[in-house]
Amino acid sequence: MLGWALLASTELHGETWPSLNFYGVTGLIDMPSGEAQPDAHLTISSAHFGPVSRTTLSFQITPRLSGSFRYMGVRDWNKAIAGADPTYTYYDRSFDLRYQVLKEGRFVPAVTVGFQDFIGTSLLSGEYIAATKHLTPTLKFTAGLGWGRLGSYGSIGSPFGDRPPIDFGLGGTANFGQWFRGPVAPFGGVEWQVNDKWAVKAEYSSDAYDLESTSRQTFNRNSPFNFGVEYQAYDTLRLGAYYMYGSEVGVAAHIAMNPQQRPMGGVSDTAPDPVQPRPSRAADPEAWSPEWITQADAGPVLIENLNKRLNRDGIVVEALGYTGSTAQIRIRNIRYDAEAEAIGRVARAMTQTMPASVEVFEIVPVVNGIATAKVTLRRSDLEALEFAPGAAEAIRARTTISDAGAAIPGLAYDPALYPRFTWSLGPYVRTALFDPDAPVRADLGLRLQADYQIAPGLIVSGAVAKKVVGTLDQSTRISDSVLPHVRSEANLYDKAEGATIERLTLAWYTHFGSQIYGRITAGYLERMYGGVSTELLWKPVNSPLALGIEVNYARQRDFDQQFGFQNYDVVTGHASAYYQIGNNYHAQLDVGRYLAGDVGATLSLDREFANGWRVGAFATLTDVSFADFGEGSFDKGIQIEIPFTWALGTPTRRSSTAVIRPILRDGGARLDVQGRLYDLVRDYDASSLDAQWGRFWK
Amino acid sequence: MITRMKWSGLLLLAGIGLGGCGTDSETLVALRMATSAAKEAITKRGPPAPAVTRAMLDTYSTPMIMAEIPALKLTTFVVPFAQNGDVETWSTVDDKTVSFRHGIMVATRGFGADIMQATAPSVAQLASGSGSHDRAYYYLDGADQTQRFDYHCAIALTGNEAITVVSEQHLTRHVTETCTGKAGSFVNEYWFEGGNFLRQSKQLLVQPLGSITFRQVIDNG
Repeated sequence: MLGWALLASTELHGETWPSLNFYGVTGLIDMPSGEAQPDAHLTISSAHFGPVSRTTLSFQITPRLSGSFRYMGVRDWNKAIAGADPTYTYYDRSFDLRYQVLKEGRFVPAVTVGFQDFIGTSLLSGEYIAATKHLTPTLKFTAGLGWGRLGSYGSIGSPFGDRPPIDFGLGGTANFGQWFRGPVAPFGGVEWQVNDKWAVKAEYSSDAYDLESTSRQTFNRNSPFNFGVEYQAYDTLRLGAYYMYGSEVGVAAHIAMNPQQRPMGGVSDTAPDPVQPRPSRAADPEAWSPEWITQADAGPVLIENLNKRLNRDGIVVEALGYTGSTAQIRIRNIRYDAEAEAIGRVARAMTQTMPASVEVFEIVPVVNGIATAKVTLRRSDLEALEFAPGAAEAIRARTTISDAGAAIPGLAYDPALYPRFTWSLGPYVRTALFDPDAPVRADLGLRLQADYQIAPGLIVSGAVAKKVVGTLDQSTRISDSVLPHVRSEANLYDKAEGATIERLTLAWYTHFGSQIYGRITAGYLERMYGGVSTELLWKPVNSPLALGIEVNYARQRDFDQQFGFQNYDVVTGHASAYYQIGNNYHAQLDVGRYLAGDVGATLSLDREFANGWRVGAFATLTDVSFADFGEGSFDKGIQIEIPFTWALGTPTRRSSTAVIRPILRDGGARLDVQGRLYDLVRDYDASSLDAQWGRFWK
Repeated sequence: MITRMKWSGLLLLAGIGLGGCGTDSETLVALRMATSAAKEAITKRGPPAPAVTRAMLDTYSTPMIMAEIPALKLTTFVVPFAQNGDVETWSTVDDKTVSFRHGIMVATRGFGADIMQATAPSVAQLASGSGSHDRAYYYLDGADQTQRFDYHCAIALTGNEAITVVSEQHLTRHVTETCTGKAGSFVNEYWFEGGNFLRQSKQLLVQPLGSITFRQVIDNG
């Protein structure tokens, strides 16, 4: 496999790296700095000193705004308490937000305002203003003021009044009343980038570690000074070793990813079929005759010839219709993450196979039997532009992307394609995070999946899973939820022994007119629910707005995930609005009735990149009170989708989606149905095709 | 460099652990990619270069060009595959293609960081051994966006040179094309035989990876 870092980002990191601290945010060692990460960078930090461990996921949401989610543990938590479990580790989750008010200039420092642990139980709560300025290209100084936890050592007063005691209750809500209140203390430090690989840091910390050190005596905080040395192993990996608070050794590892650019640059793939130009009409008038359309077997022969070329590219031609001058083909793209590449390869294969009289190519991508869009190209443009400088832009200017519309008269499906049976057997990993008894639990197992496509759009689909090894069944947590236990007994489903039926459904997909799509799915919809799910979606190809409605009847399945059901059932559903805000931001609002019968709305905001990366957050508020919801107060989380092509550099439509919730409870819970229409259809809308249009000629 | 960039991909696959078997061929592709990435990471070397002899070449009658990319430790052969106007596309057996306009490379496919398109001087201009021109290469970056790199180039005649191509001697005129642009500079080299016939050349694929050396080992039958 070929792959290299050519043409990857030529982004400058300034004179030094904007390095990360023990909280996994841009900073010194334990203190924050005024700098920010490059736009869109996603970082994962793991930092440890003495009894303290922190693992943090941070995302530079905009060039100035960043957010972090952190999981923290303090070992020896009961050291000072006689008789208590000495092995007990205190775990907590926290969210941060930072905003860079000023970017560094010739005379102006970079200035950032930050809110640390601004929702939740607030053990780590603190606000800060930090300023960082380079004195030389390799030497930078940071000075700041901290409140809350960051104002607990060496305070110089309380300019904005006392800090009210926090009443975190169930956690999960913002602590507005505390912000910038109470004692304020200065902090600061210096970082020197010795060379490309090595850097040294020293700081003065304004964190007294009152709770960890004084009350709980988990370690001795002897000094406010911390020292460290850091090594940039790769662009993506930075390692550090530290001497912390005059008593402890610390280590940290930071992984940085840039979702905008594949680390390996351009994708590696086999060459496409080149364009086959037609002979000139004068040289070979017979080749241009449209009489071929009268041959009865022309359609099947053309489909076969196209499939011969395209099947090795992971593209299946489902149907073909034609007149003497226009050919419309319906294709299923199984491989290409960049939909434009699939279109480009189909267009070139058509120049190789279609009779010369065909001038207009209409390529209709089909997903689960439904036509999602129509890409119309002129064959003479393909012939003329294949090697033209800037060929991608040039061909796009001559290409029309429109709603699929009605099929061309005489469109005929390849009779060999339906019914069609496919199956796969592979491993799966299922995780459960943040249980204080064991913060990470996981199962590894085997999953057998099969699809039987009876006709275009009519699919029987099933998945059977069998755990091989794992710890998910060790959870002894008993749901204390006062709501119906719609999700909070997930651990009981994990205890199922033997093979489980994850899903077994009959689904029908259709489009009513070109902008309206429909779906009905019936059967065992997901691990915990069976029933019927119906959906309608309005999604024009060239519009940033789509509207959908989904109505489901769901009944809770038995814990053993065989065919039986429990007594709980519910009618649940949502009206949804989807909007592409521009600049790669996407919003989704769902209003409706959730699994526990609660009524409310979910807002999801994502940043989506051309290559399929998606990083976002969501929150749901329903008529369930925070008290009834329980710990966390309401449902919220972050979601990250990573396309495999980004990591591997070879085209594949596979991706991995992780949804991280601080806690999963029963309020604001939704059914997990496969094949929701919006995600199926939107990959072929104009903005998705355009985002990776450069791959048309790849 | 390859191995350093791969580790994040391997990590991802190790974490997600998807692979397996079945008729769902795309699952297999993912598994295969992981395997080959792992192999590459472990062995850290490319395939060994085949030893080519004139006797071996004599068994073929189609025109053939030997292509070498030192940076990838890759030696391969291309044969004529397609023609569109004055551009000829030559292909390897494993679906890598190079497109030439009268011997001057204007596109590649299947090499990863491919030349999507390029503007180039005419072969007559180069063969004349003097003059200057502008040149542009179009590539896709890691976000699939087209990136254009512009260069200004000067042509110079180095002189007559006898070169050996798979144990056959050829008397050639050696011409260099020195190009400078924002992305750096590089030198393309051309060895013309009997007028404008390009016997051998060294042409830029992509900076900083380097060039492809082409040697025409079998002429038009």
